[in-house]
Amino acid sequence: MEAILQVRDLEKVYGGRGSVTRALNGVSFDVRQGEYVGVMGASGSGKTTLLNCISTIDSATAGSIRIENTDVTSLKGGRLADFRCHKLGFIFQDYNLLDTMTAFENIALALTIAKRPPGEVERRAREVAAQLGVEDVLDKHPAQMSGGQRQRVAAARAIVTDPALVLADEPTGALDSKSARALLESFRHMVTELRSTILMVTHDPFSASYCDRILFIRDGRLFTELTRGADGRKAFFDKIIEVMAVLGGEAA
Amino acid sequence: MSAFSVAIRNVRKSFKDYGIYFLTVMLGVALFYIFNSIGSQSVMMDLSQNAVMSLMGIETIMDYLSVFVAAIMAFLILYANAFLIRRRKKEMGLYMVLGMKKFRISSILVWETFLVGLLSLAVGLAVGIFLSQGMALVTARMFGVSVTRFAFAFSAAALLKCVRYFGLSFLAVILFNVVNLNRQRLLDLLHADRKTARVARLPFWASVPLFAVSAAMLLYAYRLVLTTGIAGFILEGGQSALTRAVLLGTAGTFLFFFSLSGFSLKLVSRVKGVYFKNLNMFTLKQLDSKFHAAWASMSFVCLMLFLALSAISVGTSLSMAIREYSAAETAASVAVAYMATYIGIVFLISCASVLAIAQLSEASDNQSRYALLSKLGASPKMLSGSALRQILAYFVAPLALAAAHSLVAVKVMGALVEALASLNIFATSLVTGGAVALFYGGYFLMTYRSARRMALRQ
Repeated sequence: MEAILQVRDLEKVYGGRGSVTRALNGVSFDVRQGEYVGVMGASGSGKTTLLNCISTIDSATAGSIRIENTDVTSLKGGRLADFRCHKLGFIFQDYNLLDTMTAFENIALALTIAKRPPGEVERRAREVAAQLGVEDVLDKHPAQMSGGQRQRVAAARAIVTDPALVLADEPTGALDSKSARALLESFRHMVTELRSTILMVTHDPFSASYCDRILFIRDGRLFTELTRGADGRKAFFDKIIEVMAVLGGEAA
Repeated sequence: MSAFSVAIRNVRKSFKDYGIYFLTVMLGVALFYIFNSIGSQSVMMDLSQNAVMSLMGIETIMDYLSVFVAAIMAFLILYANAFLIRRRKKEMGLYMVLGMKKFRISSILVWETFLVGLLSLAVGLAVGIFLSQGMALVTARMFGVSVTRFAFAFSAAALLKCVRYFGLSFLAVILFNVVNLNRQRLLDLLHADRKTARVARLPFWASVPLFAVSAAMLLYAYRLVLTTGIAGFILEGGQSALTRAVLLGTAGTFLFFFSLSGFSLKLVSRVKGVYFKNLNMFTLKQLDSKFHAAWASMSFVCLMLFLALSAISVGTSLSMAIREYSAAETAASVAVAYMATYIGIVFLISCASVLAIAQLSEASDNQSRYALLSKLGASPKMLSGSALRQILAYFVAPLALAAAHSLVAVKVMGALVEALASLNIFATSLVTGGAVALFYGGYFLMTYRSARRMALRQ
């Protein structure tokens, strides 16, 4: 199947004049349509920088990032904004819902920014809310919802425009284990039933065990890659722990 | 690094933050100087002994009035300062974590206040001295003489009074900051940007009848004022009508702003074609939460704007009618005209700066909202458009209601002035509109520019 995301020789250098930090040092990989890919690595490994570059929030120093055959490193201004609202969906660690709006309005907002016809907005927002099981909280404000509900509303907002790629940054980071599990099941549902493609950054092996494939980043390079294949979630989890032990062991 | 050089760096770095503060103090000082230096303008014209005497009399009245104006300005300066400090709590916390003594942080703050105060005082005085030369033309016109020679009009007394009153205000600011800092706990400072809980809101079914009641109260108050007329108010029985009109108008204004946001938001949200278009939903919700949180202060601002607009209109029309009066009438009328204009402009500036400062105080909350919208794919054009609509509605709503109020008031008071001389409504509204455009518009532009900068900062 064709790659939705192609990352080639990506480099990101911070600073200059004496104190240079290489956050990314030649990273290449592909993500195919309908894949659920995790990115793991210790703090400072470059995984967040990688996500920021792909999400067009940060700009790469060298290399290319193609999403559905558009090189996002060359986009600017209005075209960049257009690209974000049509091709990308975001899920953040701290939900990032607007506190002045209800859950329904938060989901609908992504559609109105993408300039969808007003008649379609309401129908589509309700449809996606039902798919993620948040139809009961649609009239509530974020302050009235639990963390798990908030994050599922955020997930609904991320996929409501049918983006090519959903980018999730530590989505379970602020959730208790029960809510985290429910959210990860929702992500699974998004991938298998709704044909979403997800790239998720996490440092939590339990969250990562829900993925199809995991990229391990260390010191700005792709360290290794782990594919779930026919393994069950528990077996995959054990493999992840093994790799993490090697990662940590060599780093120490 | 000494506290003084840290202060200089801070002022230079956050010059844009200080903008509204600087503008308000500068305008306050300039106005203060102009209206306290009226006596000195006599050097430019040949005035009769009587006229010089009345000019001195006016200056004495201005002297008393200035105590009141100085109190308003001091309040404004403290208000602006409190918001500036609130924005910088985290910075203070960081200084403390790094082991800086409270005394040293205090001295940085003292120096900053001193520097900004000195700068705005100096610029304000320069502007005031410059504009007071032009004021001489107005004074001369009112006394029916022409400016005979150009002489530099300067009043050392007015300058000293500016320095004294504004110096006192800055002293109050410094005291406030030092006491305030000593009362703060480190943990609170570091978590100062944590969000506060939402206010409970008025349900829609309640806001519709309340809005209708407020509209009815206002219309009834207008009718009461218009039918009784100025002559009626002087007669016995008319005064109770006036009292009723004022009470109804005030209560109606408060109720109007209390119910406005809930009412109009629901109305617009029913029109899906508008509500679900671009950032309209976001813009409306922003306005709703702002109007809802600040309905009381917006009502106050509206009432003060009403006084300002009425005062400037009356002051202007009086000054135009003056030439047809006798000498004794002239002196009294010039005094009233100046007082009305002075107070009017001070109120106008106060209102605009209170609105601007309240807007700035939400800047950090708004910045994270705009950053999110940008990530969701809102273009820079959409973001600045939303910022413009928010600030516009926020500034125009109180002004529009105040304009309606003062239209009624001026119509009635105009009858009084018209009885003495023919009133040029057109010229009066031109001057009033000009003052609003200049002062209110200036604050609006400045607030919009800072909001847009916030919206587009990534």
